[in-house]
Amino acid sequence: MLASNKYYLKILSTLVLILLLFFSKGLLFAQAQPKVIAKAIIKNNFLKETNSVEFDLFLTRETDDWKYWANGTFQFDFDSSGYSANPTLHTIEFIQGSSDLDVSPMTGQLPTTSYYITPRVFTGRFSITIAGPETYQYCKIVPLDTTGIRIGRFRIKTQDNSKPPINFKWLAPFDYYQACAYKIDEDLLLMPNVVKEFENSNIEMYDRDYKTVAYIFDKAPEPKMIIKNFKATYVGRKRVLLTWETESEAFNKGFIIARAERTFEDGDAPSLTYKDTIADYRLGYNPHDSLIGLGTTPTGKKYYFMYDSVPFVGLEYCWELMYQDFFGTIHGKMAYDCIRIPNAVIVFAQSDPNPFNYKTKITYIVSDDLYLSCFVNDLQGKMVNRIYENEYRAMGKYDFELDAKSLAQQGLYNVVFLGVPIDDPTVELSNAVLKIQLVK
Amino acid sequence: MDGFKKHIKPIYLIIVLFYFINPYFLSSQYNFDNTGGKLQNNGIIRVKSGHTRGLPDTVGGKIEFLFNVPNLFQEFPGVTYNKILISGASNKDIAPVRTEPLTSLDSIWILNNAILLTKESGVDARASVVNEAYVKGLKQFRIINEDKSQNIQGRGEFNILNIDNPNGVDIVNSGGFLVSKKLELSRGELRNTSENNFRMGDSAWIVRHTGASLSTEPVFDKTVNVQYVGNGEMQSSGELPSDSTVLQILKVENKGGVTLTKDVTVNDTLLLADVIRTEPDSNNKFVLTYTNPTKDPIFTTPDAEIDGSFRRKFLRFDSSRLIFNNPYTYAIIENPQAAGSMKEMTFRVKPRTFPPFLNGTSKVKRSFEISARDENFNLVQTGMNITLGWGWRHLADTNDARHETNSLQVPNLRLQRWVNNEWYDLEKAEDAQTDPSGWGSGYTTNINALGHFAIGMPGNLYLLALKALVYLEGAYRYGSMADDLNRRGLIPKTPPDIYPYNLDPKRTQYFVDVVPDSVIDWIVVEFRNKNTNLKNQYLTCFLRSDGKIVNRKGVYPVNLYNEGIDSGEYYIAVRHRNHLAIVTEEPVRVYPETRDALIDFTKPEILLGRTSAAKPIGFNADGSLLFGLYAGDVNADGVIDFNDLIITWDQRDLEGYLIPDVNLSGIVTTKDFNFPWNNRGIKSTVP
Repeated sequence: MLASNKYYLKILSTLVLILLLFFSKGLLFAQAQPKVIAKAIIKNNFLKETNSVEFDLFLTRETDDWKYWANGTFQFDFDSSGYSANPTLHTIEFIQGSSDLDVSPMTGQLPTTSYYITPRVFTGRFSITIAGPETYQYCKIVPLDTTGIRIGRFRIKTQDNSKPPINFKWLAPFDYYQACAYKIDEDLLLMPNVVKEFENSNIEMYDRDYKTVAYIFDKAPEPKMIIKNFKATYVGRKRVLLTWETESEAFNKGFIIARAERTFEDGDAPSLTYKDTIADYRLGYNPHDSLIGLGTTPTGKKYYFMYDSVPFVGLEYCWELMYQDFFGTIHGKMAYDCIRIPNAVIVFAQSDPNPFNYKTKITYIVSDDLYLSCFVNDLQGKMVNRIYENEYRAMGKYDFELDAKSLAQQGLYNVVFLGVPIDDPTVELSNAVLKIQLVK
Repeated sequence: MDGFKKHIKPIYLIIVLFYFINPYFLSSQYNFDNTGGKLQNNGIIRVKSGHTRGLPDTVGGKIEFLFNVPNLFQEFPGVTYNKILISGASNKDIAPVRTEPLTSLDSIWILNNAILLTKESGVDARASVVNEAYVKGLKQFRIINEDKSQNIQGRGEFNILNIDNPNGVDIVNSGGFLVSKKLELSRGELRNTSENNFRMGDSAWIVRHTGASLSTEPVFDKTVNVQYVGNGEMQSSGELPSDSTVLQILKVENKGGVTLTKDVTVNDTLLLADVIRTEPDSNNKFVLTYTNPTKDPIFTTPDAEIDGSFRRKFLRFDSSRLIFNNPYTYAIIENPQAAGSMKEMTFRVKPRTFPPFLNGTSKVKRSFEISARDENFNLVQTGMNITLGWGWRHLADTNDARHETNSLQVPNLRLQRWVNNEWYDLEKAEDAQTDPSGWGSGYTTNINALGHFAIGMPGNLYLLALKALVYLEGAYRYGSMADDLNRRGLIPKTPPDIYPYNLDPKRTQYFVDVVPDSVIDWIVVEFRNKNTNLKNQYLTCFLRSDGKIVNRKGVYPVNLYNEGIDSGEYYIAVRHRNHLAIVTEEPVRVYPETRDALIDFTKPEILLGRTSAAKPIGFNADGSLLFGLYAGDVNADGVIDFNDLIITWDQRDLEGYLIPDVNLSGIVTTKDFNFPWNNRGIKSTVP
């Protein structure tokens, strides 16, 4: 029995040894990856003008290892073969107001409660170095989310107005070029009772083995000029309001709008010849200045032009939306819209309810501005009630209530509208009659 | 003695010369015809007063000169007497009547306050001597017999006593006599014992000839001088006092020299015409001590030297040679500081003896061992800064066995020191030389450690090594230090003219073709001699990524000897261009013996200021804390403050070998800025 126990003990020991070897080997070969505790991201990089490119520098916090951002040095270059940062050619500037940090202008001293942001150009690299507050209480707390904080938006310009590349690459090795530190709000211990760094010290986020910063260039999509909509709206008196909205813009210096008249013989809007430029951003003054474009932007804008005054009513007009890019090219046929310019008439009249007992609501539409008279006649043509008398009505829809008390007895009545157009020589007088029935 | 008494009792002939009247007339009244015959006498002749003249050359029997009037004298001729008794208070004057001195054939008695004057003639006592009175005068009282030994007794005084009996002379009946001026040991042994002894008067001389000896030490009244003469080697005997204060002058002028048989101290003058050997055999090694710091030993012949241990109890501090075993073996101790704690030095020089240890036979056949002691008699091995002169016998054109050069090329010879089981060269001041007297010699400066020395051909450089481990906080990354500057080719080939490199006066002499691998930067090691009046020495070298200080070729450890750093005891400081300096709390012994000792600056316990002096930056392999120099002292003012921050900020983003590049990466970023920020307020502990 004793010998048997020894035998099993040997087998067990061997198994344990094999298992230990197996797992220890696994452990030995397991290489712990450093934890990404922050991300520095360049994104929203767009060619702003022909000689400038803008981008955002964001910092995100990925873990709870830190909270207060202290300072950093971020260095990058153009990601373009044969093209590199050049201090004689390029400038870089921080766009004021673009930072989530409390940024102060640099003085001879170092910041105590705010941040300094100092972008600079060197041969082969751009550097954005930020100094932070002395104490953690004044440091920016970076939220633990995917957005983080925008350190700032920066603009790089060429001195010779040449077009710069818009893509960037972080300079590596990161340990050499990049620096990013957080501030601690309590002593950092190397081991129990041994302080390595004291409260308010700045701790680098990169230590190769345990924590690191991911440097990311979030390349913006190729910028596109997308017109979301374009609409011509008649607003009366031969005036047309033109509105449009962009979804994104690419190198857009500004819009140009041309107009064409369309007859029954004409085809669809793109086939027309738009001879009349009715709006042009290049004029620069009101109202044309509202057509100045955003350049390049991933976000769109609602534009308007008010107003285009058409020469005639009763005709159909079409408008073509165009834009000119930074490079001088005018991109036409971006959008069209056509409307008929109505005559100044009463185009609609209705009572509800009809027949009615005590009250009815009279609704009517005038298609252009006019002076309106309105009254109620009985079937004999006798006016029993005057509603308006030469009152101005802008183009639009109106309503009023008609009370049965003003009528003597039940039966049929005519509500008569008489409109005198203000700016429509083609119509002398517009009228409309609405029959209504009173039931008591 | 019984025989002597037997002759006194039977008186056969009594010639009594009474002289009752004024002694001034004696000379004319009683004259013997002294024409060279012999006075046959079997009885006693008593001359109670008056002078005696004209005795024959030999007087038999016994004669007594007994005149007893103080302040008067009694003269008698210096002839040969069988027995002579001299007694009485009157001075007894020997009249020179022949070339030979007064001779006693059987015995001579000097009794009862008699004063035997040997102004013009001495005494040869050929048999027994009894002196209970005085023998004065410039002529010697010789005890001489060729055939048999003699006795001497009495409590009298000899001015000059000469022992000249090859069979020896025994002091009997308790002895007790005094030799007031000189004891000449011409031949044979003067056999004295502690029971039968004699006294040597203050400042008396003992002159010992070859073939003579003294059984044991006499009683020395105060001081004594000893001289060895003759032709032949001698071993010291009782003539040399054991009391270190007694012997004043020692002259070794005998051909063949003297071998000491005990420790001997000379207090006034040491003169050698030949060799003094202090080691009679391998089991007996004595020391000759010399206490006079102002008067060096005098060597009157080329063969004169001290073979063995020679100790100078008091040192002399000036630029002159403090002579030791021979005129070419000396020390120069410029000032008390250069002596360190040495208060005395001992040179053990063994001529015609190959140095011990490894390869000793390939060296000059002479060994040196130098030691020193401090005021508490503790051994001092290091801490001095002296010049050593070293000489050896060079008799090249002869077959002289004393030739020690061993076919080595004299100009290339140099002093070597035995360190850690190897001989290491000491830098020579000048080429070794020879001179016509049969000596070769050289000297070596900046001796900082003692021990075994040899004279040999160069071959094994004296290795004074610096094994030091230092970490810089700024450069520390993940267990080692970054060599970014080196990999980017930014480290200057010559240390730049900035702190701390410009502390080193040799800075501009340094140039490296290639910065060795893994070097992170230049660094300065400062050696502050613990003797504060000595100039600091600087070593500009490289710091490697593993924390080791290497020389400009990347070699670890740094051979300080090649760098011109003297051995000694130093407070060692480490300085870097943008880190706070550190210094050891205690002096570090920098000697060949300590060349394997690591000076680990990552351990705060050795630093002045301890954990305040350096920063914990990580861990050693054994899990202990690793400390490094505080980073961020950009303006090198010894304190990390806002000035350092501003300088760093002003140079942000720049690349190159820049002082604000605290992390030694080659570029100034906010990483560099954060070091002075995090360490703000820290001060260097280096005074």
